[in-house]
Amino acid sequence: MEKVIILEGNMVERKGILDKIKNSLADYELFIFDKQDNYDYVSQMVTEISCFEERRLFIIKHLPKMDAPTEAQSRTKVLNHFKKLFPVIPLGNIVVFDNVGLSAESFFKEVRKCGRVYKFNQKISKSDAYRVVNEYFQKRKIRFDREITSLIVDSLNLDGTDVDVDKLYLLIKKFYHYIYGKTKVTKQDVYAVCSSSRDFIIWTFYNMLDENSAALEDNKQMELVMGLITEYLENAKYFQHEATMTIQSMVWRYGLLLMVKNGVNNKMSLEEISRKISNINKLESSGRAQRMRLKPKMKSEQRIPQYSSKMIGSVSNRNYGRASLSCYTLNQLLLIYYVLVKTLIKIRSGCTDAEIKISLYLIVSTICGEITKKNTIDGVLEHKKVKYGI
Amino acid sequence: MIFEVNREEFTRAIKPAVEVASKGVLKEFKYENLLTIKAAQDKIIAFAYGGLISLISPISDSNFDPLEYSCEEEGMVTVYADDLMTFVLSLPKGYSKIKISLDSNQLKIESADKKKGKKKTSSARTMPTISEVVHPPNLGKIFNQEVEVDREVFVKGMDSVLFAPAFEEKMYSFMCMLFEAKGNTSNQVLRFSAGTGGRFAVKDIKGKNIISNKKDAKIIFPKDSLNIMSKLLSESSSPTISIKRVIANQKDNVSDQIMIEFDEMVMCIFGLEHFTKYPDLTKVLTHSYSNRVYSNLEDWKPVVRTIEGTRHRYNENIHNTEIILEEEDEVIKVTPKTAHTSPTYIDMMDVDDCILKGDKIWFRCNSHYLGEIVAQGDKGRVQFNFESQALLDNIPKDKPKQMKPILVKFPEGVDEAKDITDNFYIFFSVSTK
Repeated sequence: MEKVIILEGNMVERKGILDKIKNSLADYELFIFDKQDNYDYVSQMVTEISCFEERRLFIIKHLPKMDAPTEAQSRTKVLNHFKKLFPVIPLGNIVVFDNVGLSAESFFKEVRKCGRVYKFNQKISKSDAYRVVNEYFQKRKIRFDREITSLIVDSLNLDGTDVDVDKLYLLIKKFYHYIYGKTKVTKQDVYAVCSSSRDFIIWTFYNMLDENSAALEDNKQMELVMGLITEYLENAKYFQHEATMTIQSMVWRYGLLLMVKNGVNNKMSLEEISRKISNINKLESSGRAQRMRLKPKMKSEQRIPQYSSKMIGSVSNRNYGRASLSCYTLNQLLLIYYVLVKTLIKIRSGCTDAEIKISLYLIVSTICGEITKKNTIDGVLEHKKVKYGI
Repeated sequence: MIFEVNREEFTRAIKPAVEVASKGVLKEFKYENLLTIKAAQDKIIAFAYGGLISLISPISDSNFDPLEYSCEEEGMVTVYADDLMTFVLSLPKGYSKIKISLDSNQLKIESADKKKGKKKTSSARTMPTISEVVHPPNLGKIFNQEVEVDREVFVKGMDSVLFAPAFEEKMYSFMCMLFEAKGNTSNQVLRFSAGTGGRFAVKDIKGKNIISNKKDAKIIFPKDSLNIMSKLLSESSSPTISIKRVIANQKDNVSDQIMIEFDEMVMCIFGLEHFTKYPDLTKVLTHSYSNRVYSNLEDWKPVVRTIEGTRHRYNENIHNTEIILEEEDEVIKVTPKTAHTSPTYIDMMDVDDCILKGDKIWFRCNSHYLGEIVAQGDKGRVQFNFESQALLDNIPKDKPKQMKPILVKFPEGVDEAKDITDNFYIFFSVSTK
């Protein structure tokens, strides 16, 4: 009979084991300890036998406190005391350490003498994640394209090779609730649900902008693009900050496109373009206000380039559909860069949320080729508030 | 609103409402410390509601004699409860009758005694009024349990276990008192039980006429209401109180509540949703234990003091004490499991009546429980009933180690005037630490 159990790792599997324990005990007294409790109290409780001859389940969510100069010393002291306590815990009482961050093998060794240690992976590979998503929805008789499965998984970690299991299960549940009752699941459903991941949204946003820019007039879906970005911004904690960051990343991306396009137009090879762009260094600031200084960012005494070669290559390669570079003309990119920089200045000089939304609409319209004149941009961004009633 | 009352009786009459409005109130509750007074021709009604307890208190000559109530003008006003009490008490002692009136949003309290003449104006008290009106929740009309019990007996029983409910939020289901009434027998019983989960206190009161309506009941009172209940009921003059359990009724907008009627007042207790079940304590109280030992409660006092003295002030706030029965020497050996262990001995009493089975007879428990036993009285014969903890070693390794708690029975109390007998028990779990 086990009396001490350690659960570490992802929530889904931990919860599964905890449910199994609870089901195996017909009637039991439940005690949950957190960081408010001290070791004296917890050790007393776990060694007392139920007055009513019932099993007792103690779930420790956080290691109890003990007097010590530092938190780390307190933790070590508590673990050492627990090691001595395990043999005297009466059979029938079950103590579960539920994800309290235990990793010491010496502690596990003591636990194994009177119980079990469960360690579950917190991350799984993307290929396993695809399988999890497919199995979950197949069980519920919902089928959709592989592209949608990839989008769901990518939304959790766009560039990486693995995803967090807990985040994946929560996202799947959220997505299932969102699409419940729908007959057809589309990419827009994923964008609507996964709008909390900044990287995913930004890169999806770029792809959509590229597609729209290249699309014929009738096929443009600007509302969809705007919907994606505004939903993301409205859910962000600080709207203005997030909008600024988004535009800044667009300045960075369209700046790159502009330089590459310029090189291509000047009949330069991609290697040559890449070499030239790689010479631009990433800068970092130090100091505040008028004392702020910018200098090249260093890593292991080497300057970090503003654009990695992988990134330079990505604009000229196909990702989803057409290569980004082929979606825009040089003039179009100049105008896009102009609107981005101008909007950024405007937001930083003070804007309402409504004005930021209009500015974003202006950016999207320019990128999608709806606005082609500099005067239109100036007209909107340099308006007088009273005149436009905003 | 203008009325006149006897000052002393009015102070006594509004006290329960002031208590309910100002003590044990939910934090930042909208009626916190507010009291609404409605003056009608024949009576005053005070309304108080603190989120957990409400009180509707009619005040008239029929329940507070001599109130000498006379109403000149009907009306209603809300004031700060503690201010009202302070102002009424602060009036000069010579003011036997007072006049309370509403004067341009100020409540004016002055002497109604005509002999005082000019002085009454100078000694008048005025206090601000509040626009808010206290609205206690709707009273239930359908009861699933209803019992009428002797007030004094009820207060006595409740007071005995007031110390016992759990004090930790995580033991919320034990932050209450279980009240049981068995009235449908010749020897009626009221039982009051409360505990922390590890230690329980039970008071049984038996008598022939303590339950007027001869009904049974089983009601759980939340801990938050116990102190106020005890205070209000002990100061009441009503011989009996009526306790009714109301089940929530959405149609009439009635929430789960316990209604207590005394002195024509209606006190309602809310927040009962979490208190739906309580363990069956009878299984412990009626268990036939292998070992029974008597000792004098007085002898335990120095022993408990010694236990306290041996502990390290900061590191051993919670510690155990081992109790070993030494049959040959007829003593109980008490050894605190602290760093500065110091065994002490207590003589067994009435050794011929004691029952001891086995070679090693001992148990170990939280030292604090022993302190609580000692706090229950000064002297008298206490009976310890228990199974030896040594038996735990005989339980097979694949079976849970379970044993009955230690049951302590206190001397029976007899109240000849009321013709009642009472028994008090404390039982607590053993520890393997």
